[in-house]
Amino acid sequence: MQFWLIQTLNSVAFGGLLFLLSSGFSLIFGLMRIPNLAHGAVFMLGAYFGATFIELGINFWIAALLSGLGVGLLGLLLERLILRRLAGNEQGQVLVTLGISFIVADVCLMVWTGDPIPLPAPAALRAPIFIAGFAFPTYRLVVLAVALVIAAALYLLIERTRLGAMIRAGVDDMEMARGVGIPISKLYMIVFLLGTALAGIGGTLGGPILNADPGLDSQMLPLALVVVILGGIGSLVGALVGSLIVGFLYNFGTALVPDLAYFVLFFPMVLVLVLMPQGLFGRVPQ
Amino acid sequence: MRGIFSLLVVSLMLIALPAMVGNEFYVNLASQVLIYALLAMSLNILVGLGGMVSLGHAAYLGVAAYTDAWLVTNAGVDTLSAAFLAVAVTTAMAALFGLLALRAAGLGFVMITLALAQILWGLGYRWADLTGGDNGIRLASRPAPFGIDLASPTHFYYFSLVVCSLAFVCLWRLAHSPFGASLRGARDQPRRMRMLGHHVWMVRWIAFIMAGFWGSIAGLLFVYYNQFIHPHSLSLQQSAEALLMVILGGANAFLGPIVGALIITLVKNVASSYVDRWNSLLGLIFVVVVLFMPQGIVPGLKFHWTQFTRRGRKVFLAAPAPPSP
Amino acid sequence: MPLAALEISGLNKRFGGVPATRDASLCVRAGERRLIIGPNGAGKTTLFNLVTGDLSPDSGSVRLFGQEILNLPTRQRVHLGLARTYQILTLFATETFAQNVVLALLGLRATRWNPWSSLAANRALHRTACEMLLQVGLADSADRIVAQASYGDRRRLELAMALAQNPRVLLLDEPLAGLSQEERQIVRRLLDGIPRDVTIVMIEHDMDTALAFAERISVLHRGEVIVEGTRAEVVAHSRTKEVYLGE
Repeated sequence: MQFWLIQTLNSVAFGGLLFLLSSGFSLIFGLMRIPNLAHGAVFMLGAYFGATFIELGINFWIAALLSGLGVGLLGLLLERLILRRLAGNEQGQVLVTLGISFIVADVCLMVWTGDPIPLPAPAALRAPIFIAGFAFPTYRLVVLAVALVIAAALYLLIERTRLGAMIRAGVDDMEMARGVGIPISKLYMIVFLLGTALAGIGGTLGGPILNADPGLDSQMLPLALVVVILGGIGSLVGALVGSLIVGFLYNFGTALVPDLAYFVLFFPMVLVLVLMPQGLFGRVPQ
Repeated sequence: MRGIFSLLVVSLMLIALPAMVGNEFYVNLASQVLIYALLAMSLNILVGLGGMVSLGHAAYLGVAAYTDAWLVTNAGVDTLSAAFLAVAVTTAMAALFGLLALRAAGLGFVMITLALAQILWGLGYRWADLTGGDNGIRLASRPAPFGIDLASPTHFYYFSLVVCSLAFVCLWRLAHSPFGASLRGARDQPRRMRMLGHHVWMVRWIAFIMAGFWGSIAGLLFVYYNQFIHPHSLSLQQSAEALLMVILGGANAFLGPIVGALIITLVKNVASSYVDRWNSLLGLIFVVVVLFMPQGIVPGLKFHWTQFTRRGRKVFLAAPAPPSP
Repeated sequence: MPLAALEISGLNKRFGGVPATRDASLCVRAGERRLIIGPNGAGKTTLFNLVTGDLSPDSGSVRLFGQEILNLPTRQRVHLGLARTYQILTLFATETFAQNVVLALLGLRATRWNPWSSLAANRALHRTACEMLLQVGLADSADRIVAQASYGDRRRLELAMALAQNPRVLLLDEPLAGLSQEERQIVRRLLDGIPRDVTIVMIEHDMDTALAFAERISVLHRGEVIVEGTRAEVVAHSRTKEVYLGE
């Protein structure tokens, strides 16, 4: 019983991390039509930034925010200097983000070397919490809570603010949005900054669970892709539901059939592609 | 006539290569170039002819190599049967992956091919019982298909040369065939093609299977050459390298992928002796090529060559330049 | 009652909440020259798209010589004898005129699946392609790249490609759009020259040319066929005037 409860919590917490990773990816893809293949690498960079900040004695949560900021600024540079020059060339933009992902991953390897760096969870959260007689890893509960809070904040941003309205308009119909006078290039900058920053924060928050590890980008990017394929592009709800599904599948898969963990991801992806190619919450293309 | 003459010259040079370079290292390098050229050419069926960018092409090289290696080392299967089965399994997998990837167009296609290949890569690492995990699978000796001894670099080079030449002939004929024209038509105007009676989905799916088939042949050559297969050969990096070869050389030129394979293989080999940072260099080349040379090298060279020869004629024959095409 | 070449019954299509096609019904006899007119936004091209399969209707039926085609994919409708030209040119711009026609010819021939034989060496196919180009007066342009040709020539090429499919029913979507007076006359002559075993349904705005060409006219307004009849009947009808002058 304990096992199942713990695994469920782990799955949901991992799902929370995935949400931080894939919500940004989904927003960027939905609005800018760019599948940011550097997203796994910036998540990993966030983890490494977090490790360094914590080592410097900075408070865990502040380190997470700073990582997000650092990664977000990098994303901003990428968008302004490179992606913007390739406006309209979707294929080119994909390939460029791929190139950037290699560079970022290699630089991380250079700076932080190949040994995995475990990030220490905040001291207050290291002792297990007891609910109904079962012991739960406190930190993972907190990660889940943080992810949900951010999900709620994102929801409010998208649904209730003017910025969110502009984003929704752009996702729905870019031509119309331009025609109505929405400042598209500013919007792109903000969304790219936001998306990558979320990944950076996710990287630090995930540090105590996943470690800052040179294989993190290759591990996380395909998961983000599967989340978006399952949940649908440009949908926050889809990203949340997809993250939870993938979190469960990947976590239970790794725990129960470690050899075949990736295979477990394969089947739902196939099912969705066959039955609902636009994803669970995506829009049907006209 | 000029085309056939150049072809003859190049063929003679390729045949004489081992004698010309003398050093085994360069002969082996040439074999590597041939293997990657075949991989890039197979990918170009999708990218150049079909207009479909795949970031999961390493899957076909990897699965063919793994299947062959596993059958030979773990099941004691003979060389020819193992090769046949490896190609058959990989091609069947291509058919399945094609069904899935073609559920989406454009960027969705890219993502699905990437995700599928990554799943295989993850399996390659995790399912250690089957794949040897991080240790990979090692072939005890270089296989001898049809009894031909491939142990020496020169023998292997000639074997690869023959296989790749046959492959390139088939791919040339494909590009100039009715099917090739239909594939290009589906790339440029799919809606119009349907209105002309063409079965656009089927054309794309068959192209996908062909790309997987030729990729599997490259996989066989790969595992024969290295006598080793490792999950890294299924990685996104490997798929990205193949794609880079295609776009660097030029997706819309028949020789493009071959030139791209030549350049990348040479750079990789030279660079790794001086510098440890091949990945950064790969990423940098990607960014530079996409930003500044999106058409690739071969079309760029062709353009400058026609400019040059036209100007050359003007100078040496004092005749008016031929009208622009 | 002889079989209608094209019979559209009760076709409906909504986009979101907006009805683009409302209970549209049309019956075209074999060999007829039918003109579809209507103000902008009337849903004429949408109607064509529903017939060809570029769009699926919410309800209704379309019969080609008695056979229901709505459940068939576009390419199969083409194999049954349907051909169409588009309002916006979608030709293969980097290919030659001849190669464009060859692609049209290939669409109906099994050889399109051949991955080995040289297409350029297929003399018969090229001869047929050149014959089609000759029919539309473009024999000299066989080796010209489409992107470098004039708009009028490209329009004629599109017609050649449609005719190359030996259609039984030909849908022409504004075939005269953007053409000069002289070019219109050339195309008009070409259209007149099309034999009667091809049924033609045309959308056009150029009233002079189109009215002279048409035998029967259907007037579309807000997705509905509101008036139908001979040229004289339609021109005199009060609703026609209302729809055109009231806009």
